Formats: sequence, structure tokens, C-alpha cells
Amino acid sequence: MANPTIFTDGYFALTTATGSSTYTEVDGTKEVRMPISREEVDDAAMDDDINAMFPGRMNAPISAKLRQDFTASTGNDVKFWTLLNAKTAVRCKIRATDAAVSTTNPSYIFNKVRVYNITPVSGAHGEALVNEVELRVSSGGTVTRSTST
Amino acid sequence: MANPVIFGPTSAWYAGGYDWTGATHTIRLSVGRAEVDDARLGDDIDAKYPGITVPSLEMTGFFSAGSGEPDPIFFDRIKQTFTGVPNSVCAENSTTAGSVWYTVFGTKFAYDLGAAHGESLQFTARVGPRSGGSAVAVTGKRPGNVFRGLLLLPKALRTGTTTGSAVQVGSDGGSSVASVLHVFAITGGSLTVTIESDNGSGFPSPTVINTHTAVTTAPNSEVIVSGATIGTDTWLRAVATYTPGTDFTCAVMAARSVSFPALP
Repeated sequence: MANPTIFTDGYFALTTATGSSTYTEVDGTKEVRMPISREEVDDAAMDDDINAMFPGRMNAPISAKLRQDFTASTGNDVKFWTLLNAKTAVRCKIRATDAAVSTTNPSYIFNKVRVYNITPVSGAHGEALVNEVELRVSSGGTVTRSTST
Repeated sequence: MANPVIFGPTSAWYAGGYDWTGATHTIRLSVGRAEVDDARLGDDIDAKYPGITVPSLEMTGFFSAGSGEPDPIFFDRIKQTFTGVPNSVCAENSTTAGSVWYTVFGTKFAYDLGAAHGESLQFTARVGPRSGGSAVAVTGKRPGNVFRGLLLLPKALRTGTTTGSAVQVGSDGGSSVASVLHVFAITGGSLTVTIESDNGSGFPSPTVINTHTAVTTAPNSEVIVSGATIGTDTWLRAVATYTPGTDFTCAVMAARSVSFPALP
């Protein structure tokens, strides 16, 4: 059994458009979560003595916490505000380690996502600001697991 | 990578011409879009599409109830007849031209007070967006109620007409300009703030893009969105024209707004 992966150098990257395959890593990422699930569709039928389910549509929301950065043009604040405001669809790629993709370091690729929430100014006096961003898959989008790209 | 932003030392909150910076210790601003169901036949995922903007602005601070203090003002603003003011928040460098300010045009929907014996009495207030919001140069348009802007004229006591710093905002060739004015005090005279755009930092041929309503009393505030766009201009500045009067204190921010469709 492999050792645990201590999440210190994860890879969270976006393109600028769905037609682009150039991913730019999101700088200042503190936390990334990508729960993947399928809807539990009731499928119990006669002769079942159990609450049988069938996997329905997939759900794959992405949430990330970023060190807030107001640097003009390139900081996280202007980047995610612009994506939210313009409703721009982009691709997203997430890996456990910021290293070459491999069988032990697969990529999870979301090929059409949009930004749905940001927290640009959220903190108590003395805290370091964190921008919490939420992304959701758009119609036509898919989630794939790749060990090569 | 830039250093982390420590909230507080250079942060600020202005609300309709009041500066509540000294009364507040926590601000929570969240800006989102409604998740509209958009899954179609052929989708194997619970697809969404971004809907209307959903801002959430909440602040927590210390109770005080003197003249011009939060308590009477907040209580007075929780009512249907209060049409709303701009609430502008800045995380850092709030007195430096070019700093980033978020403005939510809205009114108070909640004002919570309370503490246990021995604790510091504190408030939590929540601002919600009001329909319409800004005054608009194009009749009938509703430009939305959340703006991400840059500071053009920092809050300061001034005694005469002042031209603010040139601030580069970039251009997409089609943006209107949303400008936010907070007037904290004015002693006599009349103040008219205009927003100018140009294609050079020296403003060789400025174009007036927004003209705020003349102000003679404070506190006062206004958000307007230009009907015209700034085209290829990438610089903005504010000009505070003061007909004396003794002095005035104001702050001005501006943002590129989504351009409006042409009138029919």
C-alpha cells in the first residue's frame, strides 16, 4: 500500500477559453476540493427488499480557496472577477501533485466550467484574506480522468 | 507571488457618504451568480448556467449611537422607503489611487445587536441589493448593483478644485464606466465631480464620460453608469470641481461596466 499523499503541491489550473489547451496554474491556491458523485435515482422494484439506487447524472462542483491577490491584470482577484462577470467558459485541470501526469498522478479534466462565486473581501481584522471561488460544469461539459494529459 | 493581504490596517468601508471604517472589524463580501439548471439531453452531468448576480455583504462592528454614528443610521435605513446607497469596501491601500474597491448598491436588510453580560456590544449588519440601483445616463437601463472599481480620488479634506491621479483601467473597446461618489462632508459651496477618460496618462484630450449631480450637503453619494463607452481609452481620472465654500471631503471610484446594447 502506497504512503499517503500529503497535499502540499497540488495542481489547479485553468485555460482562458474552452477552445484553448494551454493551462495556467492558479497561483496562491491554499485548498482545492472536487467531490464527484452521481445522483441516487430510486430504482427499487418489485422483489427488492432494499432501497436500491441507480447512478444518475454526475455532479462535479469545484471549490478552491486562494490567497487573495489584488495585483493588477494578473492577480486572482481580477482574474476570477472577470470570469464571473463575463460568464466565460474555460477548462480546468486538477492533479494531486504539480508534477508530470502519470498513472500515480492522474489529471482530472473538466472541459467546460464557469465561475459561480467569489469572496473578494471577506475577513476579520488581522486575518489574511482568502478568496473562496466556486466553479460548476456547464452544459456540454464532461469530467475525465487521464493518466497521460 | 504577492504577499498575503492582511485585512484591517489599510482597509475601509464607506456607505452612502459615511465612513464606517473605524466602527467595523469584519466584512464578508461574496459575489456570485445564480446556478440555473441547464442540463440538456446528451449531458451526463448536472450542468448549470450562470444567472443573475447574487451579492452578499455583511459587516460586524462595535455599537455606537451618537450623532452620525452607525446605530441611528443603520436603523433608519431598514425600511422600504430607503432606496439604497453605494456600499464600497476596500481590502488594502484604501487611501492610494488605483486600489481595488468593491461597491454594492443596496440598503440594510438586517441590523443585529446583542451581547452577553461583560462582552463588547457589537452589531452585525447585512446589505442587500435594491432593484434598479444606479442612476443611469441611458433611460430605462438597469446596470446591475455590484462593481469592481479602482480608486480615482482618495478620501481627503480639500479646499479647492482637485484633479485626481490618472489610473489605468484597460479597455475592451466597448465598456461604459460606472463611477461611485461618496461625499463625507462639505462646508459651503458646491461640488461637481466628473470622470474623464483618455488614451494617455497625461490626458492630452480628455473626454468627460460621467458627470455627477452637484452636491451641496453631506453625507451624500451617487453611482452612475455612462451611456457612452470609453472606446479605446485606457485611462480614467476624477475631477472634483469646487465652487467655494470652505472645504469638502469626498472619495471617488470607477469601474469599467458591461457595455449596454444600443438604443432601438
